[in-house]
Amino acid sequence: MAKQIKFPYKGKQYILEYNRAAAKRVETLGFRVGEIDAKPNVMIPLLFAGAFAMHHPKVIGDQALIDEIFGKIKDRDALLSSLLSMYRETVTSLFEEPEDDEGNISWGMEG
Amino acid sequence: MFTDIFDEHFPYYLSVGMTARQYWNEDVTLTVAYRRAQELRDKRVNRDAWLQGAYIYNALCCASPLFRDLAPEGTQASPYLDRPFPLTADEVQAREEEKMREAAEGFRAFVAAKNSERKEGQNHGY
Repeated sequence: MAKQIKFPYKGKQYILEYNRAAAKRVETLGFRVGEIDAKPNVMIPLLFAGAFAMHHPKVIGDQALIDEIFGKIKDRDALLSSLLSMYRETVTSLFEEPEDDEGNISWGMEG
Repeated sequence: MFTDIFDEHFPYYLSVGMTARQYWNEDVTLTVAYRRAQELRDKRVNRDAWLQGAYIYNALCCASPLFRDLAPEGTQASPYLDRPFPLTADEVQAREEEKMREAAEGFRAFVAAKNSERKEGQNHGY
């Protein structure tokens, strides 16, 4: 099964996951994985927001909520690493054997 | 961009039975299962083709006496297989056991016939 990130926020359970439609969508909006280091302020929010599309499509239009959630996330470096892994899996699953499944990830929230 | 790679591989996964919805919208690791399923299908098709070749070869060998230009009158083809080739380990074992039973039965019948001949010989004073 594909990797997922799960966390609760304001009484609701959120699941972040990437499918190919979501990956295609963020690329249409300008996300480029090779430019994360050069333009982190643009690319990282795009990558984070794109992970909502699969299970929470209505949230995609609420940028304020997404920014609010992102502001509360603990350990953003690990989050970025997980999101990139999920994004890359949309391609690697096309021609590679999957690595050992580390399971779904539950994420801590601040506050 | 990954989009180009998605578009490039999309026709292949459609050809092995994925729906467009599964490919674009569902769990991305489904492609791994579809790929493995296709490999199993390819192996099965290959084995079926090989097996058919084996049956055709067997049939030709059985009929080959009839293909000789100067075959004597009355030449007959050898009988074709009376049942399929055993394919599984269980079938092979069952076939071996049946052969052994038939061989033992044949030997018993041979011994019984010889014993019967000897008794007849003794009765006639040989």
